[in-house]
Amino acid sequence: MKKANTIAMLLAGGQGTRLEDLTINNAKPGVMFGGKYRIIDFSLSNCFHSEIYTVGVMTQYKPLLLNRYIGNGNAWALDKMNQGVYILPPYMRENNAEWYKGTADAVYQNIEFIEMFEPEYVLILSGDHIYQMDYSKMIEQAEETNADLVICTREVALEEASRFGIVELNETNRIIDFEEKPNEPKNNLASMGIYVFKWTVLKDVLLTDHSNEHSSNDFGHDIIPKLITDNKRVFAHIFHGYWRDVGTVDSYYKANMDLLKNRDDFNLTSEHLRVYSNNPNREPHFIGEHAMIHNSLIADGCYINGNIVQSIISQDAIIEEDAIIKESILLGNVKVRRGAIIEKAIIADNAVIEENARIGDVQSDNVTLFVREVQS
Amino acid sequence: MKRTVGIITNSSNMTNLDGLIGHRSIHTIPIGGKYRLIDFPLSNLVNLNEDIYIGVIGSYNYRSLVDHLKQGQDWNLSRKSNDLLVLQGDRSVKIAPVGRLSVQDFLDNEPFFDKLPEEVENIIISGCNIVANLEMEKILEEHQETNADITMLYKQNYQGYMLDQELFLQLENNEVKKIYYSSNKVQNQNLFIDTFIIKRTVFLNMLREAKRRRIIDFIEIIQQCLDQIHIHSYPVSGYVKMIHSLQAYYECSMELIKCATHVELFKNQRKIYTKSKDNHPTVYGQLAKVKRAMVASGAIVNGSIEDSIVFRNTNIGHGAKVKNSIIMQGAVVGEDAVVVNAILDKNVRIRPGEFITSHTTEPILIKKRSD
Repeated sequence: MKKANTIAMLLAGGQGTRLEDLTINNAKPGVMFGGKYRIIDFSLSNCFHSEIYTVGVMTQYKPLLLNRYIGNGNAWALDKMNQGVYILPPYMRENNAEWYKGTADAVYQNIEFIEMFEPEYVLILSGDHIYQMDYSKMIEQAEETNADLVICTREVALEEASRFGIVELNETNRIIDFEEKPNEPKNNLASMGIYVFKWTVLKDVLLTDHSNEHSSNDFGHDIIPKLITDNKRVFAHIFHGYWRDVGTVDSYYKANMDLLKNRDDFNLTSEHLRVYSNNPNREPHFIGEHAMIHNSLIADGCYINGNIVQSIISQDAIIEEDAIIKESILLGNVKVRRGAIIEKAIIADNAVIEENARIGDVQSDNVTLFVREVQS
Repeated sequence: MKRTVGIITNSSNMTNLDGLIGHRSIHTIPIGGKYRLIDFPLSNLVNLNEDIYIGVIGSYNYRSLVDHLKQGQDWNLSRKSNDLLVLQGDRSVKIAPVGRLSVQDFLDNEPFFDKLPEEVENIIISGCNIVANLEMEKILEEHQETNADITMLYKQNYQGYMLDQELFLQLENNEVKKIYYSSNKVQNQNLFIDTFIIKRTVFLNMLREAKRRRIIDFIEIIQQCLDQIHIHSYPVSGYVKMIHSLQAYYECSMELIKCATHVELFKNQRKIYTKSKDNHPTVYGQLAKVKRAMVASGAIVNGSIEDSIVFRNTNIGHGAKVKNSIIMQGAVVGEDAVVVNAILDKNVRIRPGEFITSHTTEPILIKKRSD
């Protein structure tokens, strides 16, 4: 069967304020993850595995590092002829120039871009999710059910349900009710913010939504409830694998640590749906005389001469003798001097931890975030 | 803009590497955890920071070479102004003797050399088996300043394993006066490191002359022109290793895990580039023990590693011990196996509990599966 022509539109514009200082210079999807990846690698790799080779990345907040990182998409094998990854910042038109106001508005402003590819379906993705998934199953479901929209959903803990859009299904998985962030959720089946729209339907609803001045131009708040009210064919796809929204420091930390737990459902060493990334050219890491490493991930380009336990060390780190790093995440190019102790902390890119310094506490309930002081 | 051309030869007379070559080209002998031999000379050329056209003379088994280089994108060589071409080579190696620097290999690519544009002033010719991070920019500058016809690179007081017949330079005020083979490993000799810069016009003339007189070794024609042309010499500082034998290969690998060598070669502003792969960061298990080692991404380590180089996508099982060894990509050391003084070629599998060691001072080489 010929695959339906689908393009992906990835929302990468959010500032990610809940990631605090991790997004000081970088948009949220560009934040490093798991020692060598960036958050956006997961979505882009999923696109490749789903044979979706055209991806529009809508950027707005501090997009420079992200733009440079993505390039033409060749790292994710998305640089097919006449396809590829396109960075889509807001741009000026004849009569006005506006920022992306909401998730739906970002797609609305790119209608012309989408039309260039004449897609049957448009896949809407978020740039801040960690998961490995083949989207073609969703697209197949959309074709089989003649759906106007398929929403990817998963079960969440009931106490967490009020953070999500909660759906209610009939026996054919058709969504009969959708509530965005309900105070009293009726069940625990949550929208993951991954949507497959029939393009003709999406375009119509975006145009209507744009002319409605009371709308907040958001998929969860406006577009989806409207489609359900209009009795459009909206279905749920139920995903069973590992999925995390890493929008907060705490969830970001926990998802990273999940990599050290030998989980069957979240394992980057497997070939299946392998996560690709833009690989910098670095030598294998160097382990010195005094190093001790237990249950950790270490990237290329590092120099390790200290103790590393339950930690993730990203590229180009220098860990000197007698330094101790426990249950922590070091992002790129961090230097840890002799005798420094880091526990349950996230050390942001380019930071230097001075000799005998102490950061974080393994007993603490909270994760300590350390960011290099910005030189003025 | 003046363009420089780089040629990387195939060093096909290096028969002492036979065990490592097997099904691969000498260019692609794995080294340093993720590199291939050719990455060093190729990076040295790319680090010239000018537009360059590079020809790599292939060898008899060229599949691995083409597979490694592809279009050269990982060395920034697939731009319109920066280009890479694999040339034919080794046509005669199985039927006739070859020189240290095979004239036949150049002649087989005559159309390539003849078609070089006029603005190409110099050709940098380099062997493919030199592990070094060279200041090529400075060397080319000096070559131009001294208006030399040829600049030959050498290493003074070379430390390391040598073959019985090495090529040395006798100098006078930095001019090369004599090029001689010697088995006499005395100090203060100037070992030629199979790398030189030559003016394009001089090269073409010498090539024609060699062809006319049926000389098989380009070094011989240089020797014969010594008093007619200006041959400058350049002493290379820093780490240099010629990988012409299994012993030299092993020696070099053990030096790469010394901090100073590692820093000099890899923490340099001039990077050594190689083919990139999508590997996960190295995974260290709860009981891993690692010391004095270089470990590449994609490896999974649950055993102990000491004084060793461990390549990409390897797996060191629980309780396994690896010491003074080189574990090439894809190799698996089973649980509780012991590997000492050994080189495991690509994809070699050591069964659980197996004991691999060498009984001599030379390392034992476990060859790649023949499939």
